[in-house]
Amino acid sequence: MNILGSRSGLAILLMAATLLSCKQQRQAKKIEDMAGEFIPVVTDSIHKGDSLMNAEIAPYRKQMDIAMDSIVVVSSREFYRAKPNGILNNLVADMVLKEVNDTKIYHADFCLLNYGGLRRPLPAGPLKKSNIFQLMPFQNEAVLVKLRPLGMKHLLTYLYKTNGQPISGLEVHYKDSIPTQVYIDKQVWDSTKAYWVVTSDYTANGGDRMNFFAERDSIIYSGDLLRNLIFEYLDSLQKNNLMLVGDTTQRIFIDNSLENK
Amino acid sequence: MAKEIDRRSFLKTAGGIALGSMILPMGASLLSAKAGDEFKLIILSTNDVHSRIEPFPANDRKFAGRAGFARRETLIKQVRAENEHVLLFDAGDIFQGTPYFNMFGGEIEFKLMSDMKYDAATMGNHDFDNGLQGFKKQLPHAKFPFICSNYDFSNTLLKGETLPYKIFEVGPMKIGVLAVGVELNGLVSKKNYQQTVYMDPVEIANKYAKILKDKNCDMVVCISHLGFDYKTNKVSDKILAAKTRNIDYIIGGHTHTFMDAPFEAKNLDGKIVPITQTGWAGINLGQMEVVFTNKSTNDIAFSYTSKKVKSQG
Repeated sequence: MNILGSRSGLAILLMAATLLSCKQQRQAKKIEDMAGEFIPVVTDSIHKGDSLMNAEIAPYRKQMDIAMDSIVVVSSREFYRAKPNGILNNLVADMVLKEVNDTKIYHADFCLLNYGGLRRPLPAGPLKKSNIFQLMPFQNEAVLVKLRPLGMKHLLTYLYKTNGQPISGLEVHYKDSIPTQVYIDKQVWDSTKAYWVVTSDYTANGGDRMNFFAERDSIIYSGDLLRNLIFEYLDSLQKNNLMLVGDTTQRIFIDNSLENK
Repeated sequence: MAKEIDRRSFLKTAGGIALGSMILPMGASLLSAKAGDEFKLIILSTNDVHSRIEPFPANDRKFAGRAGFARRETLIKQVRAENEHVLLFDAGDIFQGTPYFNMFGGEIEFKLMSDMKYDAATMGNHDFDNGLQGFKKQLPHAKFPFICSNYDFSNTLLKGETLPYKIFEVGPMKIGVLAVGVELNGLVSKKNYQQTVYMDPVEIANKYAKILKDKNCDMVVCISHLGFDYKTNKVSDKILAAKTRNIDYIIGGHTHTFMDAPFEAKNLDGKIVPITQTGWAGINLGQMEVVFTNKSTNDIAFSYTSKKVKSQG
C-alpha cells in the first residue's frame, strides 16, 4: 500500500513534470504583419469626449479654475521661443533679471536660463495664471552664481554649441565658434573677472549639462521660484495698467561664414 | 523569402493608395483578413502626455482642440469594442505641463489612466519632478504597473514599487514588455532622483529581451523614454534598435517626435523593428496592429499607414 502510494505519487510527479516541459516547449507564434498608425485625438462638437471621464475631471477642473483663471496681465502679442534668439527667450530672462535686481538685496550682472525650461508659448490677449504655470511649470528657484573667468568662458562656448539660450544683460557676437564681442550689462566683457549670473537651481547644479556653473566662487539661493518672479513682474504691469510688450532685440549673433567656406 | 518581400511591398503600396484616397473607419483592420489560425493584437500607446488632462484651448496656435483624456477614452473604448485583444501602454512623462500637476501632483493623471485601463507605463524624467516621494505618493492611484528595466531603485524609497519587465498573457499569447529610461544625471535634479542608479539601456534591453524570448514570449515590446534620435551619439531609440536583438517593437517617447509613419529600424540581426512616437500631450493615440501566425515565416511584412500631423511640437 505504502509502495503503491509512493509509486502513484511518483507517477503524478512525472506527469506534472512532462506537462511543465510541454508548456515550456510551446512553440512561440511568429509575427506575420504589423501595421502602425497615429490616430489624431480631436475634441469638438462632433468628436465628443467620454462623458464618464468628463464627469470625473469636472471637480478637479472646478478647483483648478478657481485657482488659475484670474487674469494676470494683457499681452500685446504672442510670445514664442526660438533659437538662437526668441521673443519669449528675451521676455522670461528679462523678467527674472529685473525682479531679482529690483529686490536690491542681490545684484546679478546678467541672466541665463535654459531654453528647454520654456515649456509653452504665451498667447496674445488676456493671460491667465494658468498660462504662466504652463510656461514655467517647474518648482525651480532663482539662484545667483558667482562665476569664475573659466566658467564664463565655458558658458560662452555652451551658448554657441547649443545655438543659444534665453539671456538678459548679455550680448554675444560669434565669429564661427569664437565669441569676438561680448557685452555684459552693456560693458565689454572682462575675461579676468568673475560675474554674478542669475539662473535656476536646476541649471546651476548642472541641469541641461550646464556644467560650467560648477566653476563658481559662491552660490546664493534666493528662495524665490522663477514663476513667482514672473508673477511679480506681471503684477507690477497690471497695477500700472500696462500691457506686456517684450523686447525683440537680438542678443546672440552667429556668423558662421568662415566655417561655411 | 522573395514571396515575403513581394507581399510587403504590396501591402505598403496598397496601404498608401487606400489611405491617400480615403479614411478608414476607426478600428478597421489595416491588414487583410485571413484564415482562422491567425491572432490579432492591437497595441495602443501614448507618450509625454504631460498632464494634458483637457484639450488645448481655442487660443492655442498649434494645437487648439487637440488632445484631452476624455476624447482619448472615447477612442480607446471604440478600439476595445471592435477588437478582442488590446494592450495600452504609456512611455513616460505623464507628469508636468499643466496646472493639474501643480495642484494635484499627478493624482488625476493616474486615476484617469487607470480608468482607461492602461496595462503598464514607464517613468520619464518629468515623472521625477516632485521627487521619488512625490511619485510614490501618487502610486496608490495607479491601477497599472510601472516597468523600469534600467533604473535601479533598490537604494531608494521606490524599492519594489516598479517591475523590471512583465509578461502579459493575451488570449493564448504571451507578450513580454520591458522599458528603458533616459539618463537622469544632467536632466533631473539629484535631489529628485536621489540614489536611483541608471544602467546602460542597450545592455539591459538585450538582457531582458533575451529573458523574455527564453520565457517563450510571442512578442517582445520595449517601451522607451530615451528619445527617438539625436545629432550626437547619445543613446536613442534608433541606437537601441540597432544594438539589440529579440525586440519586436519599440514604443518611444521623450523627444516629442511626431511621425508620419512608424520608423523601420534594423536590429543586430538585420530584422526590422518599428519605432513609434505619438508626438506629445496625447495629441495622437498610437495604434500598432500585430498579426501572429502559426506558419513559419522568416520576415515580418509591414504595412504602414499614417494620418499626418502637420504641426510639429
